[in-house]
Amino acid sequence: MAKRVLVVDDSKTMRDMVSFTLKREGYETVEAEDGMDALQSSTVGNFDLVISDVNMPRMDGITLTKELRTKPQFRSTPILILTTEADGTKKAAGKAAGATGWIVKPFDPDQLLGVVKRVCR
Amino acid sequence: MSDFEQFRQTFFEECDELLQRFEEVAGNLQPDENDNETLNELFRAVHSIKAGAGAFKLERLVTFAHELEDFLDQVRSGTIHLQTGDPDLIVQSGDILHTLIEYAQAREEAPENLEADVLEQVRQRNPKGGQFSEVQSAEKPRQSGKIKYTVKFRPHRELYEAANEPQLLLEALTDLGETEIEIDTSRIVELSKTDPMESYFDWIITLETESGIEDIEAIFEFVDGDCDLSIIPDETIAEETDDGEVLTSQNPIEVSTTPQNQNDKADGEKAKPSKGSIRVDLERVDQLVNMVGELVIAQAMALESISSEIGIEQINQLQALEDLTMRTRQLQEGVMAIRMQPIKALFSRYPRLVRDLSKKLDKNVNLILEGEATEVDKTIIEELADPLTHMIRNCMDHGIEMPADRVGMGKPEEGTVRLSAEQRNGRILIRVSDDGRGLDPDKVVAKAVKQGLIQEGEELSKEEIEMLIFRPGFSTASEVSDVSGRGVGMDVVRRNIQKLGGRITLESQKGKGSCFTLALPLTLAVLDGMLVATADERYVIPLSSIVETVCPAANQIKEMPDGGSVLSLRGNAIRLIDLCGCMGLSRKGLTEPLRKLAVIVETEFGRHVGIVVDELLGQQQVVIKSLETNYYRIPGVAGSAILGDGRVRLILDVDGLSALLPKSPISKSKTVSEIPAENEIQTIASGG
Amino acid sequence: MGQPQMISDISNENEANVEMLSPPKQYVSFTVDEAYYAVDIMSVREIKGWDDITSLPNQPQYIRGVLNLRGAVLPIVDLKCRLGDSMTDPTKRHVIVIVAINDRQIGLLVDAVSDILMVSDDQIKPVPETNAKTDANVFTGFLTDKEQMVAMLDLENLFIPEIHELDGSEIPTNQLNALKE
Repeated sequence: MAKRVLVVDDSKTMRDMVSFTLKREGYETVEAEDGMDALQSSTVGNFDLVISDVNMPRMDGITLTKELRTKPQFRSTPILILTTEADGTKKAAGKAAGATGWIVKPFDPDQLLGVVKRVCR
Repeated sequence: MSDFEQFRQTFFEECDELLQRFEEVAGNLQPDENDNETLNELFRAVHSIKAGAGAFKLERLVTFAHELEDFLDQVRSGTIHLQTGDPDLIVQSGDILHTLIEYAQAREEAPENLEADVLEQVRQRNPKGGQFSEVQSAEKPRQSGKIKYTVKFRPHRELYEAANEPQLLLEALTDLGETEIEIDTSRIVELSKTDPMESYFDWIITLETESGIEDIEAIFEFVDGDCDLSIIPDETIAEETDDGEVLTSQNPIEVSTTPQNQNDKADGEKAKPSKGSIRVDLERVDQLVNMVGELVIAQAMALESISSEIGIEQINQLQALEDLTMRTRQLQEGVMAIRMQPIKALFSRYPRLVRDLSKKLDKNVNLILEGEATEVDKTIIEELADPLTHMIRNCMDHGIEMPADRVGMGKPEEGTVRLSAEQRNGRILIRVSDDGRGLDPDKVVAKAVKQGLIQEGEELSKEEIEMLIFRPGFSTASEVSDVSGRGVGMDVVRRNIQKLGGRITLESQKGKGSCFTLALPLTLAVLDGMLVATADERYVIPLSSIVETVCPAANQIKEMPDGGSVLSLRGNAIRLIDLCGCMGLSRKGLTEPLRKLAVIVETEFGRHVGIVVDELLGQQQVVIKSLETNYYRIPGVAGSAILGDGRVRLILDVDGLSALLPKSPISKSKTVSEIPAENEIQTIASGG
Repeated sequence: MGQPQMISDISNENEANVEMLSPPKQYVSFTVDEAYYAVDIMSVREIKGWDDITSLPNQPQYIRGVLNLRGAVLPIVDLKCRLGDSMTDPTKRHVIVIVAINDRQIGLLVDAVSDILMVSDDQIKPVPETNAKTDANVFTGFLTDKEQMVAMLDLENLFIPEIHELDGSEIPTNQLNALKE
């Protein structure tokens, strides 16, 4: 079965880009607009990977990561955060919350897939 | 595949934006230009286009963009100095980019040799410039020899807790070259003492690879701090590297932080000096606008409910609240301003269009721009580009006469097209006018009859005739011309304007010229509205269109033979629209209210109509939500809004509602002809 | 989580011998008037209880109106009515299944959500030729689950209102009638 990826970003362009890239490689994606939506969606079915933006309305990606890590079925699911900052503060915060890794925007499809393959096969 | 389409569309939208900037900057470029920011901007635009084109494998575009980028790179670094012909060359290159992108967007192969000439010129100006293939390899520097590394890796439990997987890291290493992996199990404790979350393995990997140490470090980027890691280059294998002294260093390099070069690279890309402005995702701005809009509403409702309960002794608190209201409004205005841009960005692309078309049509046309500083919502600006292009083409193709004809008519040989923008009464008015031949009413009617749009012998007002050109399937040009043909009619223009909540009208005088007027909302996001109720539903009427509200006496209302009714108000006859019926509502068991209220609104042609409602519930600012996001446009409905109670309410489109009325009832009714001011209404209506 | 046991053999993934012929997909099934219907779980965004909605003028009967879903305005399709039956008289126990169709989100008014089904493509039988009441193209196929017939909904065909974007100059007759009331 194809790997299911939960793509969380409030920017449609970003979701499109991530989804498109992953679908082309045979992944299935479910999209959510923010952390809140993602938590809702996380109850429907299992996911092999979560890719989440950091700055989002209602619930940010860091909080989402923390929340997901408290759920047994997400304990060992890789979570990648999308960050625009290369300065490391968001990366560190993400890591502290339990994120597996990060993707620095902007990225091209190959970079995205490269990172995804590093945490999820 | 809709995802792909979306993605593609995003790319082309971005290209448009970049090209527009490129053209603007290139158009003002002087041969001795040495302003870094100007040159940087040109470079970055081409760079971004190239990057995106690469993702879509648009090879010709990538190649061309690459060479242009390289040339501009040399220019901005001062290696190449701009000469007399260069600004033109850069402008032409912009045209080529534009054309290549257009073909790519249409999924067509651009004509062979389209870019060859310009490309050759660019190459001549930059002879040392990298041909594309060379530079691609230069982008990823590789040493030629293989190096053997010893990687020691001891994961901590935190590594597993963040769902990282050593196996995948090892696989990634294996992708770089040949690996031998040893496992050190000396830390394994007795089974009974193991902690399932703890890690007991150490790995020692020898890797033979052409990749640099930074590639190896990158693999362990995410687990930095969650493991002990050392990467030690052993020895050079095979032949020497080009600059092998660093890489063959015998000193172990302990890696404990994120590789420095990563940060450098990111900073380099980020550090775009751009006069203190930042690029923000439009969606983010929209969200902010929406949130602030909703904040304003929530705040207003809170104030209302408090002020009804509050005693005189708490009046100071009330004042504090009003202060809060004011600040909230200011916040809102500030946020709204983010979306506003001077329309100059849009207008500046037309001088070239006019110049090109003049040449093509052998006409002599002067374009006058007015009100370029007028600020308009960014989305509106974007959506206006095509309609305006179309209208200007129309003016130049059909409006302006050939120079000889103009002289013969006693007009100046040079024709004038005027493009103006102004803000008036909370709307943006944009006009495209020309001093050409104007609309010939007889020709238009004949055409419309021929196309079956109207009946032969049907009597139409001047205004109705002018509106005919906006009907689907109408085109006055006797043959489809290369310039304004293209199968897009004014109906498409009109629909696009309507989608923006705007209106388009045409005024024309035969022999003198025509003028298109677009009336657009200032912003697409919020609206001051009047909340009204009918039956058990509530609706929002845009405040900007409300003239007054009246509570008519029975003898002021006259039933019309066609079933409608007319209100006589201070000598004016005003058509009434029953909102309840119009919205398809029934008054199930509800008693008719004793007195009805009529909200008098002004429509696009200055016509007044009355919307009959049961109750006025007060003014409110609402955040507009398009129905088209998830549904379709509905006639008579401009959009929807979510009110404080969480319910969706429909915003009425008064022009749409009035269009549902019978066409020209007033002049044909005897009852109304007694009313003295009837002429006045007629005048307003036909004046446009 | 699984820490790797066989380190020397990491290139040999244990997934290699999984047959990829017809991977089963998950479907969400629900009931309308005791009949069962299902949609691909990938298109389901959310499920929520019935709430008061705002009606839209002059739309097909099965478009019940629009609903505020956290700031988005979604149309609600009365599935029973859409399938040719009478309108649902919704209560608090009715459910709205929010689905995504291409770029749009819509809500389907149904009686109740019943199950999540694992279905592979070969279990889905084609739509029989004769289907009296509804147009057959709102279904993609049928499936028998625990002796229940489940109809697979074709969401794209389900949501094509007869009234598309109307040009302002055209007046649908029902609106004219409404004006004359």
